[in-house]
Amino acid sequence: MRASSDRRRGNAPDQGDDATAAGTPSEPATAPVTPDGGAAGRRAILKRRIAQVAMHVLLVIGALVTLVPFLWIVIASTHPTSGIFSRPPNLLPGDFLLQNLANLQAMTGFARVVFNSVLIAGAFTVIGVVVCSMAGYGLAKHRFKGRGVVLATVLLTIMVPYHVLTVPLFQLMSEIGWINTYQAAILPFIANAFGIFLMRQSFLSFPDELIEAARVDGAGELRIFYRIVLPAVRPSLAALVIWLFIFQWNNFLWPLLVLTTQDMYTIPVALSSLIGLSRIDYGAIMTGTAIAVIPVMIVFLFFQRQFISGLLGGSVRG
Amino acid sequence: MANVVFDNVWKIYPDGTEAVKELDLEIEDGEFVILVGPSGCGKSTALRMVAGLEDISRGELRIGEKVVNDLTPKERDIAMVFQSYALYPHMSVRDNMGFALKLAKIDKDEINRRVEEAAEILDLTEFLDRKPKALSGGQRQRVAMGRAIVRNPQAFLMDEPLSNLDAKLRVQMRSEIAQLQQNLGVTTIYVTHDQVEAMTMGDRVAVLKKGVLQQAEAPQRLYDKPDNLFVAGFIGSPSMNLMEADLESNPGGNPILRVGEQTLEVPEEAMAEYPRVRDKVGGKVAAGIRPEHSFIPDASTPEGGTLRGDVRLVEALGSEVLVHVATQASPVVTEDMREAVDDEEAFARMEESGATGGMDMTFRFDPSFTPKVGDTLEVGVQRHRMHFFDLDDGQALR
Repeated sequence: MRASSDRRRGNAPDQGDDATAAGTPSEPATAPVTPDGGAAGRRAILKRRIAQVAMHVLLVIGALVTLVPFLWIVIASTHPTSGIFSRPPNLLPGDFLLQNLANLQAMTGFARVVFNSVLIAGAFTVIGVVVCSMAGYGLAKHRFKGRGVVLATVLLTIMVPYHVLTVPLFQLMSEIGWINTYQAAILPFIANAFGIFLMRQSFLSFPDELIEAARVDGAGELRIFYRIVLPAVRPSLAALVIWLFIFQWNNFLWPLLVLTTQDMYTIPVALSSLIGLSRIDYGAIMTGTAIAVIPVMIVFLFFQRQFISGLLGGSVRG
Repeated sequence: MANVVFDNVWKIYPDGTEAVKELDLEIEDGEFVILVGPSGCGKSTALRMVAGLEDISRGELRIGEKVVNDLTPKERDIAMVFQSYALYPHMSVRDNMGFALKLAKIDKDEINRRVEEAAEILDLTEFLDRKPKALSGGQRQRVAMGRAIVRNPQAFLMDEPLSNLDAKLRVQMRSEIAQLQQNLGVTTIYVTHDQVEAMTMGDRVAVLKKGVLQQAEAPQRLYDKPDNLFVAGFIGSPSMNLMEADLESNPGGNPILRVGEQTLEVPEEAMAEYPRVRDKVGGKVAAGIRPEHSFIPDASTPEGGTLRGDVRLVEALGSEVLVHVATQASPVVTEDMREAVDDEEAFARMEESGATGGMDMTFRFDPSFTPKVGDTLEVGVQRHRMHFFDLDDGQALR
């Protein structure tokens, strides 16, 4: 009884049974405890601590497994190839970064390659977001004949392996004279089935009444879409941006097929071109790889802030 | 401001469902009309057709003498308040209220003036820069109202705007909306399933059942003179006691109703109001008594003017007491009543009690009267205020 009355008076729920039983609401866990209750309480606290420590150890291991390769890339980018493979390995940064950069630029025209990658991944992301979100919105919120069939067809394309599409797509690009052009690298995978499905799912939970209210207020369909609906699905939009950007930034096979000259290469294609039969400049490759990670990190860090739920709070009941 | 006319309007969905059938209703300029009915009766669909959110399958809808069947919501110059408020979550109260004006490309100063004026009327001035999520339910409801009134539209459409508020706030907002509508004089169509809202707010109440308009009258007239069984059973809380009774001839007098072992003589006033009752002598009719049309009989109460039964439940509401009495009457269990009750379980209980020959009637008394559960009670019936309906077609026997 005592414990329950204490709780009613606002005792903090995480103070533990002992404190709740013995103390007043303003007295935390310092109050004396009964022998039985005390032993049980200590065991519970010990169990909690062990669980916390175990979880932290696992998190640290996970972080190390994830970060060490990146750290190694960064360190390796500051050494020549001989330094990278020296024994014992160089675990501290060296002074060969600028030389590696110069070599990379000389071998691949890396500045242009970075520009190509940024342009292709950026354009792909922007156009992809527009296409996927509009298609998802249409499939979620507009009733039309055959909507189910269209959705099923879109989802079926997820099952078709990427590599199967490359041959007919290459043939198509070749026929329309797009080989070795930016549009050939950007456009073929714009209508991304996963992106459309992701956006459709998030639009499904958007209240129809808000759309209707905007219609009654005099907004046209396009304005409703970008002024009312899109701001409410920002978390999904951010996820889509990250996903599309990383997909295209890391895309290797398709750019390798359609981009044929070095001045059109993207970073993955340019770096792979450094792996020759005779000598491989690992220092330059590591420098290129380290640089390639930077935009991905920027995009991720910038858009992860948008992963905030509750944007619809207060708009509709409940 | 304008009148709104439904001229033989139908709404038929692609699967064949007829949501609204042959709706003829003229709403005068400045009138406040309530559409009421059980769930699925087509009231919201009718409202959404006025808004332009549902296509009209057949018939003609006119706003201000202009046929609007093919006009978009934007072109109809109407404002709508939704059940869920439908406020734009990422916009402040000010932007929410001014959004339609901004789209109409109205001057910024004019928008500010109108928004601030509406906020003043609705007591929202201090919340203008807040987002909807930082407002209480009542304030959100006011913002939704504000969004409608800043536009100064031809008509307000309200789709159960108070149903998400708690009881106390609902009472307060009910009177505020009614007052606001009176002050602004804008034609208003208000959808609700709440009888109290229907009876207290509007100039006229239109009752719908399964997409068909049953009756459209001033609230009191609707209550006093229901056209059919459905309206009689639906309007009023507690609802009218409707019993199925044999109508017997009474040589030298008016017909009498047989209620189990008891009888109720139909008085002259009721016969004048319901002349077709005479045609039903020898058959069955549905007879209705409002809970408040009862009294505690005394020595002067004539024979054939009371009903007897055991008290089942006493609800003391402070200002009145509701007494549920188990009588020998049979409840009316027609399709009209199923719709009017709008609760399958309650209707099943009615059917059950109909089969066993007895029904609970509710009577309303002064709070000083406090019978006990189990008491046998003799209740006087104001027979001249009884209602009579045809059991076959449900129509009043007028």
